[in-house]
Amino acid sequence: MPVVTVTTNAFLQLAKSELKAFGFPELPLVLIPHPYGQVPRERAMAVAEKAAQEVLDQLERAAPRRAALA
Amino acid sequence: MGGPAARRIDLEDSLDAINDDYYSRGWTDGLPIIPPTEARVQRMLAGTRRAPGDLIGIMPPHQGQVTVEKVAVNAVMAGCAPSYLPVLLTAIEIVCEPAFNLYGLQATTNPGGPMLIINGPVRQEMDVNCGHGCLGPGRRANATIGRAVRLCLVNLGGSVPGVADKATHGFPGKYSFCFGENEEESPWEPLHHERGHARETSAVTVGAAAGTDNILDSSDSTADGLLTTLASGMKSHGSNPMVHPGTYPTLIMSPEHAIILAREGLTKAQVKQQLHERTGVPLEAFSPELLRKRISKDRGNISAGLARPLVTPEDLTVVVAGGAGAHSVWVNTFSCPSVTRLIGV
Repeated sequence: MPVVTVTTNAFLQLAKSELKAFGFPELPLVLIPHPYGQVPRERAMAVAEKAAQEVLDQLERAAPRRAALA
Repeated sequence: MGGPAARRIDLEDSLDAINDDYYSRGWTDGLPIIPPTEARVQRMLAGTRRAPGDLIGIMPPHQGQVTVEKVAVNAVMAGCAPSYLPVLLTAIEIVCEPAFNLYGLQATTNPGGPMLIINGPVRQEMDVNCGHGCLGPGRRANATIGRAVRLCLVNLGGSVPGVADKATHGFPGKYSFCFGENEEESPWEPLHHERGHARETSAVTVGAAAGTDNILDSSDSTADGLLTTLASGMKSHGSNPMVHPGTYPTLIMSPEHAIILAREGLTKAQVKQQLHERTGVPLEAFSPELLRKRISKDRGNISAGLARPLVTPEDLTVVVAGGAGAHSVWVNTFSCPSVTRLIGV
């Protein structure tokens, strides 16, 4: 199943080391700027929309790879 | 089940050079370590009957395989005596269980780390400080057992500040947080007995501590007055128990405070009940956004227009420790349980 992990830039190192620890260093990451919890609503929506599009792009890129492996 | 043996490395036979090397590799807590030579590790392993290759658990976030030998290596580095190893192994077993949520504790922006409370005769055998200054410096057992836990979290779990340890500030208790209950001066049953173990056994309790707040009350001579003061120290709007209810904080009571409550006939369970009732904060006292985004997501801690840091009275751990003085310590926490287990061999 294609997977994309969403993380903030402040947690990028942790995310990369976790992917490595679990044996999936190549899993795609989508970064959002930190912090995201205390920003104005308009800013939060803009970040979410950009991240959602990047997630879709990554999943679409993963689908052909998966088909080729099948 | 067995795990991989600790790696052997050859270094110049110099305390300074070894410390420089370990520090540069990120294998310390910043303080100098005792070099874990094979001879020292062997002496440490004599403190347990368990085989060096026994697998204790898998330590997050880096999923390190934790063996008895690797714990012994970190115990040597921390300065532990071999007799401390069974306590350390039991504590490490607890934190490695997925239900303890060490993954969260290691990687959170909260300042938390494991807190160890020791009960039973092992306190005397290891000279654990349960009295004056028991949360501070001065005793080898308190200082090094907690430190060994931290070194395991770094070297086996990958808890390097800024990398996998994402604490915004951390707190000094992350170097070591280990003390014994002052059972001899407590008016109540000791913690491990309260949790079902025979009084004469030795046990270690592990929870999460995210800072200590001193509560001074040298004025109140009645339970009602003292409970009012204690409760006031437990209901900060921004504390983890208030913002993320369902956590397990600890109140470390001085013997003097405990005796004021006990002499009016209050049991430990009744004290918890009283504190649960008295720590309600009116919802209108919170800032509007905090109330809307966090506090109002009622997780069982809101009733009659009041939000509490405890979902149930039993969520609070009450332990008696410290020396003379009218102080108690509120130990803020993170989303980890408080687990008590008999110390193995």
